[in-house]
Amino acid sequence: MTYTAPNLPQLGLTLFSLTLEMREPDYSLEGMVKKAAELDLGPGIEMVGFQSLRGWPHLDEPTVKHVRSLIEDNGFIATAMSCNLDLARDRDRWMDEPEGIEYLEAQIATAKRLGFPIAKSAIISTESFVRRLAEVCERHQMKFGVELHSPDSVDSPGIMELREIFEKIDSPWLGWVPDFSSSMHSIPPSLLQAHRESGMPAELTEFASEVWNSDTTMPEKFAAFAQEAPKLGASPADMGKLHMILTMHGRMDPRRWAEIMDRTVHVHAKFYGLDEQGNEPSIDHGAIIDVLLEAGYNGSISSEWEGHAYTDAVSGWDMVRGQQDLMAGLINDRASAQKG
Amino acid sequence: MGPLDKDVVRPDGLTAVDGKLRLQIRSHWYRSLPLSSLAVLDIAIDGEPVSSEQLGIGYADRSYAFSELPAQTDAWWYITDPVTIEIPRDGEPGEEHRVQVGLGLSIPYIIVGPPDARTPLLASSVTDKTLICNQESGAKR
Repeated sequence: MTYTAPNLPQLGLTLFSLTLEMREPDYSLEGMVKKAAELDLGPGIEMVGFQSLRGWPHLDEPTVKHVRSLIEDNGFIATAMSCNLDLARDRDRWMDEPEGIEYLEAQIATAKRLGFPIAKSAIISTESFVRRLAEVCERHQMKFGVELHSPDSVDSPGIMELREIFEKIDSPWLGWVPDFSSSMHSIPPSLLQAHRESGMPAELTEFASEVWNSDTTMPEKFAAFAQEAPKLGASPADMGKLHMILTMHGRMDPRRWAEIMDRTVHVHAKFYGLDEQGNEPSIDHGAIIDVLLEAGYNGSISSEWEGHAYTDAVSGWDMVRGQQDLMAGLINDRASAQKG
Repeated sequence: MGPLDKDVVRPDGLTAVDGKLRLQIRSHWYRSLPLSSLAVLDIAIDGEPVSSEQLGIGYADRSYAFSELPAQTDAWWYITDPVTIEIPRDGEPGEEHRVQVGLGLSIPYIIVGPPDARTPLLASSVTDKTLICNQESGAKR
C-alpha cells in the first residue's frame, strides 16, 4: 500500500478509475480488488455502488459479508461509497424530496453495512432536504459528502447556497468532497487528441479551448460557446462533444479550496493523464496538496482516473499507480520540509 | 466518442434466430442504469431504419416493447450485461449485415439545462459496423 504518515492525507483509489478494465472478459470484482492490492493502490478504497455491485443497494447479508472480507482481507480500508440520486429515474415524474431522501437512505444504510464511513452523492440543495439528510446521517452514524466538481467552483451560485445551508444547519455529518477537476490549468491533452481523432475540425477545438482559457465565469463561457460555435459550423453533435471541455474541466484557482476545507470529508483526485516525468499535465497537484496540508487535512484522497472517457490507449492500473507515486512524493516532501 | 462506444456492439453481437436478426447491445455508461433510461434506440439494418416500436427488448429473462421501457424504473441494466434486441429483419448465419445503432441513455442523476428547462442529460452513442451473423449458440454467454 502507498502509506503516508497518520497525520497526513491518506491515499487510495476509486474503482471507477478502472471503468474500462471492468469490461474485460475475465473481469470480476474479486479479481479487481486483489490486483489493486498487489499493485499497492491503497490503503483507501472507494467504489461506485451502481457500478461495482450488482443489485445495489439491495444487497443480502452473504453479499455484504463477502464484499467486507474482500476489502479487509486484501488490506484495504473502506473510505467512501459513491452513491447516486437518480431524480429522473422515472422520466415523466421526477422524485420529490421525501422520495429522494428515501432513495439515498437505502444507499447510505448499505454503505454502512459494507463498512464505509462516508457516502457521497449530489443532492437537492434546499434547506429542507439537507436537514432531512443530516437526520438520516446522524441516525446511521454516517458522514455524507457532496462533491464539488467541475464546472462548479467554491463560489458558483448553487454551491454558495449550499455552503450557507451547511453553515446554518452546522451538522458534523455533512460536508464536501472537492474534486481536482474543478481546479485545472489547462485542457487535458488526451481530450484534445480524442477530438482530433474523432474528426472534429481543428478550428472548433481551438475555439472551445480559447473560450475555456478566457478569464470569464463558467456560465459566461457556456454562453459565449453557444453563441459563437454554430457560426464556425459546429453541428449539434459537435456542440455536444465540445461541451465536455467546458463541463468536465473547471478552472478555479486551487488555493480557493481553502474556503471549504473545514467541512471537507473526502477528496477526489480526479486526473486525466501523466507526462513522461510523471506529472499531471493539466492539474497542478503540488498546489492542491499544499492547500490540503495547510488546512491540516488528514482524511482520504481517492485517485480517480477519468481519462478513460477519452482514451483506452493507457491502462487505468498504471495511471493510478503513477498518480499515487506523484502524490506520495509531494505529500512526503512537504511534510519533511515542514519538520525541517 | 469515448472508448465505451466501441463496446456497444461487439464483433460477435449479431445472431440469426429462426431466420430473424437478434442484436446484443451494451451500455456506454460507466454505471448501471434502470431500463427506463434507454430513451433512444435507432437501429438500421443494411441502411434500412427499423422502427423502435417493432423491436423486442430482452433483459434478464424478460421481454419488453420499446414503449414499455419508461416504466421499467426498477429493472437495472448491469454494466457487464448485454440487452438483447429482437429485430424483425431476415437473417441467416454467415450473412454480412451493416448494423447502425443510435443509442441514447437518459442519465437520471445528471440534470442539465437552464432553470426553466431542466432535463436529464441524454448521453448518445453512435455505432456503424458490418458484422457477420452468428449461429444462435454463438451468441449465448
